[in-house]
Amino acid sequence: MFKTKDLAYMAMMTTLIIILGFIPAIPLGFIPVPIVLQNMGIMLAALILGGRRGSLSVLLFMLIGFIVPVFSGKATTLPVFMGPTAGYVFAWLLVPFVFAGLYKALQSQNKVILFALIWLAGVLLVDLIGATWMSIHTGMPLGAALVSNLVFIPGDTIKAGLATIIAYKLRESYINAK
Amino acid sequence: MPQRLIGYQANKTFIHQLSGASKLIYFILVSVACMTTYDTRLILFISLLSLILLKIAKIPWKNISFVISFVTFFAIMNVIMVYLFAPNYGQDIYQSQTILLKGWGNYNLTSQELFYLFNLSLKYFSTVPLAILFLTTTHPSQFASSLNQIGMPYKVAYAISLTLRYIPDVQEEFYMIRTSQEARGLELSKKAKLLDRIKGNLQIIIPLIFSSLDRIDTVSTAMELRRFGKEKKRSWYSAQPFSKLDILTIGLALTIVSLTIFLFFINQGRFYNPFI
Repeated sequence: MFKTKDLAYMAMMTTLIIILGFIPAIPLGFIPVPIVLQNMGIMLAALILGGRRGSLSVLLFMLIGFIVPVFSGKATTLPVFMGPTAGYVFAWLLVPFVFAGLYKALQSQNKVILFALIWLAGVLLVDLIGATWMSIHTGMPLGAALVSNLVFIPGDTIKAGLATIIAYKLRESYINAK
Repeated sequence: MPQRLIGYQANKTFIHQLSGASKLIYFILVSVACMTTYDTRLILFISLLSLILLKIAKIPWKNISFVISFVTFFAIMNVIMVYLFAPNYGQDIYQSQTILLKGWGNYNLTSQELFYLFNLSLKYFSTVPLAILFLTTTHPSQFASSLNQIGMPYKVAYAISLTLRYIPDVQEEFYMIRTSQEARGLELSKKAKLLDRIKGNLQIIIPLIFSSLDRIDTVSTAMELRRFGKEKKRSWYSAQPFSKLDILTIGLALTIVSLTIFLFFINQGRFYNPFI
């Protein structure tokens, strides 16, 4: 079903997602949560590999996470899925598909529009699904969960911008394919 | 950096001799059963069984203590979070209330909430030892063949092998890039200003991503030159046929799953309720 090169791409993208999870978080002085780079890997998977290959890379990451502690903070897949942050991780599976869908609909090469699309798919969607699950799992009111997720928006926005720039520079990116 | 993941520990125990496929089947089935049920008796049984197996496998504690510490921290954070946001969840589930400590507002400490949080914690200490067991007793070459043996297409199974193989290479690349940049004056520690640190991390990540993706052509061409992907099926150098012990292992996993389903009916739900 996949060409050998696609397999190699997906494996390498999965590896990059894992490695980005190992890089220590960068604390920003003015917001309470540090920037973790792992979800930037998810955005890169969407931008560089597109919908199907990108989502399969994320799925591969979760499969490997069953046996290797690859999530930020050295967690494995099962504890994460049993915990309050499962919504974010589930949403990561959807990011490449949603981004590819939006991209196909708009067919734009404009950097600002690409940034807006990955922001919608990689930041807004993830935080909405994550907040919803956190609300369900902990019994926290949905409004409070959504408000508390605002602390992630600045860091995630920076990551979306960086991911767009990186993918734009890569000749073989999905967003550069013509 | 570089991070050291838990790795394979060669040994002669019976767990090492089991086929990777049967261990994987056991791990998945028992983990799902444990994740699904809240019957304390079954979770306790699985926990004890996991710890006994860990003992039998003779894994040195120092090799896994780092990961155990982080998982324990994660479990504690989860429990605290559930309590802070849903202090009455235990009462709702178990339909009764025994206040141990009167708190402000909703924050009474009750037997029911403690019991629920105990069940939640116990799940971590059932599934994490199994993951550690699988990882430390299965030779990495067997991962892909195990997955293919249980029905996953061999290309996808091979992608997992590729990823596991790439991890140390990319880690080493990361370390090399960071060292090179620091030799050119890059400052990444807390002494640097925030913007400098963001820019610094960017100067490591961008070459890491580009150099990693540059590898794709070389790797995929080499694989194709060796006729990877030309046939519907393939043989595996590291595959291992099932032995009697493997069949017993799978039987035990199926028994635990059946027990989980059986207890759903006995308990009329996922929860074992000792309060009624």
